[in-house]
Amino acid sequence: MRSPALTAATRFGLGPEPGGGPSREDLAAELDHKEAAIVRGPDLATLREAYVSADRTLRTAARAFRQGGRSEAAEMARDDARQARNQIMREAEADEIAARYAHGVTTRHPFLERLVLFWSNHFAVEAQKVPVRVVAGNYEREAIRAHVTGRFGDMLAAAITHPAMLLYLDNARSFGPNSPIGRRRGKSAVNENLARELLELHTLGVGGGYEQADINELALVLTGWSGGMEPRARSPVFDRRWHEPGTRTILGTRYPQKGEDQLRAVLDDLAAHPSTAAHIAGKFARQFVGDDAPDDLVEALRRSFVDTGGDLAELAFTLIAHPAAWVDEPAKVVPPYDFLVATGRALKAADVDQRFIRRAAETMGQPMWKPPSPAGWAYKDTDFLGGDSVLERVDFAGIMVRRYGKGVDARRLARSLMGDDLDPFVAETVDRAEDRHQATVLLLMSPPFQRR
Amino acid sequence: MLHPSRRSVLVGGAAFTAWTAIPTIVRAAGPRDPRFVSIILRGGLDGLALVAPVGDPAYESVRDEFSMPLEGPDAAIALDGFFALNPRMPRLAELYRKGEALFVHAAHTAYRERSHFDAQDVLENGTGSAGHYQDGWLGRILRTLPVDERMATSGAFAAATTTPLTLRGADHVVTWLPPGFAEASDDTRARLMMMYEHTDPVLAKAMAEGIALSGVTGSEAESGAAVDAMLQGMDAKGFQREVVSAATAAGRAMAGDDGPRVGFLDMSGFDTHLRQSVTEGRIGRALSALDLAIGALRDSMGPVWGNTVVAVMTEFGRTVRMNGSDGTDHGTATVAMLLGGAVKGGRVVADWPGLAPNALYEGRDLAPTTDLRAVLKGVARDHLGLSPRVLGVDVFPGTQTLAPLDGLVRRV
Repeated sequence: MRSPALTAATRFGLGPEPGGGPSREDLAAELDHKEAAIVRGPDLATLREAYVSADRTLRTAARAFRQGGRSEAAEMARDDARQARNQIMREAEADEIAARYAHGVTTRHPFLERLVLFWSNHFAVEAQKVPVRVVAGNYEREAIRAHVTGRFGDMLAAAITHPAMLLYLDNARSFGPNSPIGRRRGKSAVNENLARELLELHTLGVGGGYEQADINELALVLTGWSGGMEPRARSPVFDRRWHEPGTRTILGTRYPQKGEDQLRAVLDDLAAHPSTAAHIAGKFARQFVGDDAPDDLVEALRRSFVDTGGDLAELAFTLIAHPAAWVDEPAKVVPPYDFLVATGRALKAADVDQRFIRRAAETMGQPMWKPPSPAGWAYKDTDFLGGDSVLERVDFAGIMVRRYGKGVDARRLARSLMGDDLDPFVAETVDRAEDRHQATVLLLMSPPFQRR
Repeated sequence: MLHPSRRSVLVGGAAFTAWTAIPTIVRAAGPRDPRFVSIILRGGLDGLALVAPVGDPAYESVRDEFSMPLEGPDAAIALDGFFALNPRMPRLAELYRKGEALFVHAAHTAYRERSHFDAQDVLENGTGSAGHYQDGWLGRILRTLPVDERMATSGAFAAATTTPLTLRGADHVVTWLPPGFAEASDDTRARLMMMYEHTDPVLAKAMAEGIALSGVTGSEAESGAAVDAMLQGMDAKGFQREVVSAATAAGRAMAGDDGPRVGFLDMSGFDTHLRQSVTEGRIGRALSALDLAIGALRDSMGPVWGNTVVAVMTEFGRTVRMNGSDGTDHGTATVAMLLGGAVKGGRVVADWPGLAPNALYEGRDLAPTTDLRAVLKGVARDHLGLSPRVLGVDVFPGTQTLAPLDGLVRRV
């Protein structure tokens, strides 16, 4: 029998904790400290301004090169401008990765961090396009962390209207036929990617009761939401000149609102839709408890979501208050990023070169802010265990211990982290290791670090 | 010399003998134990820079100083009098001479816009539109096979971080990346394995699988030695080493009796907007790496190469004319390749649209004439033994009227 404290530390936290894991009351108390989920960093306006200005310089230099006889000097100026723009991207990424990892390793509110990781994955963006790479970390800080114990509707609005999402799902250049731009160009370019994912992944879920016509209408509601990182003379987050005017009908409801208000009204209704509550409840239960999370847990979560108007702290509280969430048999594999953070916590290694973090996450199969699709990482029970991924974890642990685990006494650490839960076989394996390094690696690879 | 007219089917070397006797319902693959590898060249390969239509009267004028050289130390390798191969590809040329390489020119996907991401989605998901991420065409093939089929049971090998879209939907995909970190000792692995056996069956199984996999791809030292041998005497860049490592690992894994029958590799470096050039520059470097990877795959597969078809494809081609930066921009049709001992190669198959200004798609691109899905359907039917109905409905939905190309695969 595993103790509730170890279940809490692994299933709801970031790995085994020295002196034993938190109680249910400790977890509940974390939910009252919403500021503890915050990670500081440059605000969106600052990043946008820096990027847009550098991107403009690059485009001007590229044009000068093309139109000015392709001189060597103009080519160099263009390449320098590209360097400068990409430098902004690289620095932003490096800072965000370092900050996210350091926060994960040092936070005294690991349950909040797990909620951040869940919601960040629910509203997944992929840091692939240059401007998305600039703001992906900011997106997690400002759209996800800021609302992780707030209302679902607020997080939804913040996520959907953030440039990271708008650019990732190709909404930035979408315009309707009757928008000022559409009329001038005599055509339309409506992109429905974001509308589809918003209904299928973010709110109602597959089979949530929407049709293609609803996607088409929502895509028109979304026109004009460019994200403000486009190479235009004027580039606000919402650009009325690209917005399709008029009343839209979605799921039978008419939306006569003008401009930005129209999307906000639609998002409010989607957040409050019964299908959304059912979709979120099922996913939340499966990702924390297991693929076979019992129906009564899902139902309790669904009811909480409906009754509280999507209060996410209440949702998290409902999860830890339910007995089904405390079954002592682990169901899920700890994902690579969570293992990376758990390793850092066990070794007290907060200051790790972000290039190594990035490479380690990628090598173990979960590159940061690069999920395989808008659906995010699947997080099925045994995901992330394919191929040689366990061996990659051993090798990663080996490097971490070599660099940061010099003074660690694995025998003592094992007892501090696992107390009475320390499996005799794990204890024996650690105690009989051929050297200190191997002992610590074996401890980090033991089931409580890998399964939850 | 054969001077084909526009829109004629070209058959380099051998005649295009249609062999129609292949049963389409009965499983044709049976005793052959076929292997299949999909290689995706990301970024949009310029088909004209790999297989140049030197016989097209408009070719030299559109490519100008970046036309393929026909003489000198860097002379192109003649394929059939009309097409010539980039001289950076000697290993590919050798396969062609042995009849183990076939080119399909002016090939295209269903995608007609110019976004890499959407185009790669379409190439990989096989549905005709982007935004479908649940499964890919090769994943659906594996799922469609009878469960006792060798190809279905032995799973697929992907040199990638996560299961690539092409293979999504398959039950068993092993992903592999070049070893990233210094490897733990065998002793550490053995102790860990023993710990898992006593404490956690899920981890024990995963660990055993990982060890078995490193057994077939070889330890880091072994595969490193194979890679070194391949790159011997070459000034290999990190990028070349990476693709050769991936190809070596895939080949070694697939060579084994118990190994996977399906492989996946991808490689980037083909988005040559700048300084593409033709035998040098970015395309020269990318093609050199591709040639090494092809050679590494063939060498590491050993005898099973004879039962293998490797499909090499890219999301779209590039503009016919060079842009102002000695590069090319996103285009439409391009070249695709089938390689392997099971390929009826040594020829270029093309419904050649021509390079004259009025023949270009939207006035700028090589016009699309052969649907890549017809090529893949031909291979899937004749090499893997799938029925055209399954291919038209489940694997490439909505392509019932698109006939599989005949005669791509050697008759046993």
